[in-house]
This record gives sequence, C-alpha cells and structure tokens, in this order.
Amino acid sequence: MTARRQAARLVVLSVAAYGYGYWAAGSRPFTAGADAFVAVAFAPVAVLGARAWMATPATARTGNASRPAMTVGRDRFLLVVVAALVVLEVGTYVAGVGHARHDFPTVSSIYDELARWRTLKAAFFAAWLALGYGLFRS
Amino acid sequence: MTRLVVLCLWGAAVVALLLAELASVRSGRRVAGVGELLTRLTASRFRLAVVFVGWMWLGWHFFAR
Repeated sequence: MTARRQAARLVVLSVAAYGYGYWAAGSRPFTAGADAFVAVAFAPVAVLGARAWMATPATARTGNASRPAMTVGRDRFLLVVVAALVVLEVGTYVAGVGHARHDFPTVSSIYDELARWRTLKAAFFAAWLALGYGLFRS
Repeated sequence: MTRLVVLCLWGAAVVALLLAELASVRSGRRVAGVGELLTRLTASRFRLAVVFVGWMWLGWHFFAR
C-alpha cells in the first residue's frame, strides 16, 4: 500500500471512529443504548484480535532482529513513567475512598468531568477504538 | 489545594509519557516507546487475550457504565 493510500485510509478510519464516538457519546451511561454502542464497537476489534491471535506464537517473543527485548537499563525512563502512573492511580484511588474523591481525582473521575462535553467524550471513544486497532492489527 | 497538586502530578505524568515517546522517536526506536511497550504486551497469545479483555473492560467502564 502506498503512503498516500495509507494516509487516506488513516483519515477515513479516524473520521469514522470520531463520528461513531460522537454518536455513542450521545447515549446515557447505564442504559441499554450505551451498552449497545460499546458492544458494537467490540466487533471489528474482535475480528482484528482473532487475526492477531492466529498470527501470534503461543509463547512470548523476547526480541527480534531490529530491536532486542526491553531492558531496565536502556528503557528505564519509560518503565519509571509507567510505574509512576500506576502508583498515582492506586494512590489517588486509596486516598480518595470515602468522601475525598474531589481532592484525589483518579483517571476515572477526571474522565467523568471531561466527558460532560460531548465532543471530548467522542474523542475519548475514538481514542479507545484507535487503541484497540493499534493493539490488535497484526 | 490537594486537588491542584494531584492534578499537577497527573499532568506531569502525562507529559513524561509524551517525553518518553519523543525520546523513542528521536533515538530511532532504539529506546522503547509506548508502541514498543504495547507490542511487548501482546507478544504471546495469553498476553493478547489478557490485553483484549482489558481493552474491552476499559470501553465498558468509561462509556457504558
């Protein structure tokens, strides 16, 4: 596939994901409609996941010719950042149990505040779809 | 005040994640970026299945529930 076709495909997929996300963002959580929007979004990613499953070895690949396995030494910064994110999420969750959630916002509570804007919620939905696409296209 | 500090910590963590990705790009992917991490997370069928369930849960948690 040429670079131009790849770019065009990316634009079409992005617009479709955002459009669907905007549609889905109009649904109210805890309703059958919201459940349906999410369930329908599972389908194309499940197909990708099944294809990736077929193409993936049963045991983990530990490295490849172009790049060896991740190591604590070389990839320290990324690993520290990911660990910090996990500690922050767990720490704020535990600290906010009870009535202190406002003072100790977690990812979920920050999202809840941002998702009041439909355009932002649509962007989050599209990002979630993009994550699924990126994770499972083999 | 506590809220502001925690929000700043979240902001700093997100910026650090972006910097890690930028460092990866600038090093010609010799240093791992987010994409590399995700590739490693799905490097076997078991991990792939776990990540898929995690991805589904993420969507359900944020958009349906």
